[in-house]
Amino acid sequence: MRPCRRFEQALIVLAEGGEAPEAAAHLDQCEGCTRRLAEYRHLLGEGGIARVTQNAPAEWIARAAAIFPEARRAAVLRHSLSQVGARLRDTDTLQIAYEVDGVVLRVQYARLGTGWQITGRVPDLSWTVQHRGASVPLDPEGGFQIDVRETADTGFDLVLPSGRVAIPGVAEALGEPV
Amino acid sequence: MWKDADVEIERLLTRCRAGDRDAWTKLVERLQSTVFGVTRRLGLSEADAADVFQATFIALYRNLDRIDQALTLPRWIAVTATRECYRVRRTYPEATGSADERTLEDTIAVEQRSAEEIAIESERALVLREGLEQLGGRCRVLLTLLYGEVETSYIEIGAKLGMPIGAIGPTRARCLEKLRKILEREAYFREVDVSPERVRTS
Ligand SMILES: [Zn+2]
Repeated sequence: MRPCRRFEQALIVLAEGGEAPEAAAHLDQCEGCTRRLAEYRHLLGEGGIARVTQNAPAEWIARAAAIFPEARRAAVLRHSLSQVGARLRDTDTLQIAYEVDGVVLRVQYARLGTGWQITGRVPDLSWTVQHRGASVPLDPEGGFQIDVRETADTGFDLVLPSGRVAIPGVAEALGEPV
Repeated sequence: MWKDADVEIERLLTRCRAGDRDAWTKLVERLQSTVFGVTRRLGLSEADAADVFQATFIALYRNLDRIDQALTLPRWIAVTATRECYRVRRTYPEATGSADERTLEDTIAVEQRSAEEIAIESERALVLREGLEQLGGRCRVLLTLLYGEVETSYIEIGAKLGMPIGAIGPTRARCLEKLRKILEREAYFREVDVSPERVRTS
């Protein structure tokens, strides 16, 4: 049921608590106008715009934003493409060595359809590997494998006792466009 | 349901999990009014509300990896905030009689019912908030000034928006209708009581 065109403005006036006698009298016979008035009343009432435009004090928001620690980023030590002078887009396999807390982590990347298969081994079984927030299973030697569908998704995280370390995506690590 | 907001929240969650600090800031900005609204609704003092606010976001941070459906996040954050409020206050708003006379079961039941109600309300409030965001520009500012918590006169609004006072009336009607349409698409009004008796008497 649609409201009557000629009462559209008057319904807002009624919802605002104003006077619109003709429209008010009309409500008895019109479901469309009654419904529309209820919707406007809700928007202009206590639980409507007034409630949702309340904001927490700025310092509370800043304090909550500061909960999130800055993830350290692993440094790229070297990669296999630099030796042959190849570009990522022309490459099917490569290896990148990262430095993580003074330890070298070697990660292999192999093309897999439109994406990549990422494999590596953490040097310490207390480390956790996370991809898109989910833990990646480790084999008894600390080996892991992550299959992704696109180059943009090749970044992952290591969670160490000393904190979170981000391993950048492969294109980012090589400084090439995705 | 409420797709646009969910997609954005899911995107932010994914980026947070990948360690993106900016995404976390955006997520806090998106959810802050929900948490703040719960503390207001339960009538906490400012100091208590500030504690609840921080505790709720710490809980969210700790659970980032465990919240896997974006749809549940606004509800999750509202429930968590409500529980934190109860924890801080150690009294229960809807209970009759003093805390000593209530059984533990009563207390838990009251708390759960209230948390669930607040969660549903908060979820809807977030949809309305996203609707206003989507509306954007002058319309959003105008509706916020006119119908927000702090009432603003037409003269002040005219000065703030550089708008002739005579234009405010027609513009506000147009903006309100635009917002209503956005919300209608999101099925926002499904739970508004539109029975004629209710509308006429309110
Ligand atoms: Zn009508």
